[in-house]
Amino acid sequence: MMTGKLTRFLLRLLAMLAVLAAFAVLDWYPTIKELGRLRRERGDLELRIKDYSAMAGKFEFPNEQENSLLASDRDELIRALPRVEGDDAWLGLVHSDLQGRTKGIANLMVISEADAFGPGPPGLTRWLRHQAQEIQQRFQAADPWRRYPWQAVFPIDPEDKGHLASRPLGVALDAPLPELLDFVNHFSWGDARLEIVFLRLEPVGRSARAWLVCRGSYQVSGPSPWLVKMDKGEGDGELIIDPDSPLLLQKVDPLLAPRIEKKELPPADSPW
Amino acid sequence: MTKQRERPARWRRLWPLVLLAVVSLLLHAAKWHRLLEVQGLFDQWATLAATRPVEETKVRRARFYKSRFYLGYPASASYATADLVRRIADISQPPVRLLAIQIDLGLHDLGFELTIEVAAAGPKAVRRKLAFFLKRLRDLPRVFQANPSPASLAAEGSGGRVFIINGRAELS
Repeated sequence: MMTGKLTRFLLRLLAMLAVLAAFAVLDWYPTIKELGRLRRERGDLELRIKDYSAMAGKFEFPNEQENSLLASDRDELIRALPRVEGDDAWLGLVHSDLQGRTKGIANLMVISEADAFGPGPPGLTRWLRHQAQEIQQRFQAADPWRRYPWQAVFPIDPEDKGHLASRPLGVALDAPLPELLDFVNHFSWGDARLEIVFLRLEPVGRSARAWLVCRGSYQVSGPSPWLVKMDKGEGDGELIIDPDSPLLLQKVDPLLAPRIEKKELPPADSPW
Repeated sequence: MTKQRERPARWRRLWPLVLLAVVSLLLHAAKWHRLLEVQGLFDQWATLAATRPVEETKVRRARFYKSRFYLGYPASASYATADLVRRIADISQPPVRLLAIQIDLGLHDLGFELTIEVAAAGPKAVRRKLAFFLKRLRDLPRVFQANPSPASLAAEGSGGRVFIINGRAELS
């Protein structure tokens, strides 16, 4: 009799413990874990809101004047790029751009492919052939698939009909040094907006010969093998601005921005 | 009478279960309450970010400064290149002869490589002329580095010694 009661008591106790364990494992433990996760998430959100409010307190939000300045800057950027239908049209633009600035320069060659140097003045062509490998390497370095530093400057606008393209180009010339240097200085002043990437110059008596590799960016509406891969985000690329910079907390100041200026070289006998 | 005796017996068997259920209910209620708190904070954060768009404004401002840099860069780089060549040509007077100059442009500075020939009688005189040329080179505006390449010190030019000098200069 006593044994029977004891057995029943023990069985009931075991059953209660099993039910308690089931509640603890299947319900209480996951709920307490979830409560902990929600507590941490609440803490994170509160901190984020506090920091954001503190930052927003010091922030100068744009007014109408700044919005207008930012919009006109974007328009200027888009207008700065030549718009062409195809790559050949851009090459034509470059040729006419450069030919218009060859005052004092008898021999000028435009090299559209790294290994195609003709036709041109024999002396200049022979000199370029000796440096064919170096020229090819510099062309590859300026290839937009290898390096294009301006991706983050151009926003991706799905409404834009044109696509951003960039192409390396070579120019070779020989001329008296002052005229050659003037040409180099004025190189980027035209509508084609060419940027010098590399220059090699060798004095020859009173003259000099030079070849340079440049990059030209343009908007092309047709297909092109020179399209720039627009897959980088705002903070990527070579041109980086620290997102915590105090410059970004205030309204934009055109006086603080890099200036756009075209300067002439000092005269030959100038001490500067 | 029998039924009254049965109710307390059933209650004695069921009270542990009821207790467990009450504890579960309390835990779930606490979890629900905290979930509502977090949702409220999330809505507050979303409203704050939408009405005071700090990040979006920073992106627009950063793009403004980048586009100004881009628009001014080509002319600035061309001028820096031409000006540096002009100044180096000016200081490359006999006994130093400039054989070649290479300029490799970066976004904020440029690298240059000069090949020069120094004509002088004897190694000491060559070293003195080279040192003088290097001093004048380093004094040029915006040049912040100029050193002869160790590997270049062995070449012989036509009556002098040929050196390669590597350096860097700022763009503006």
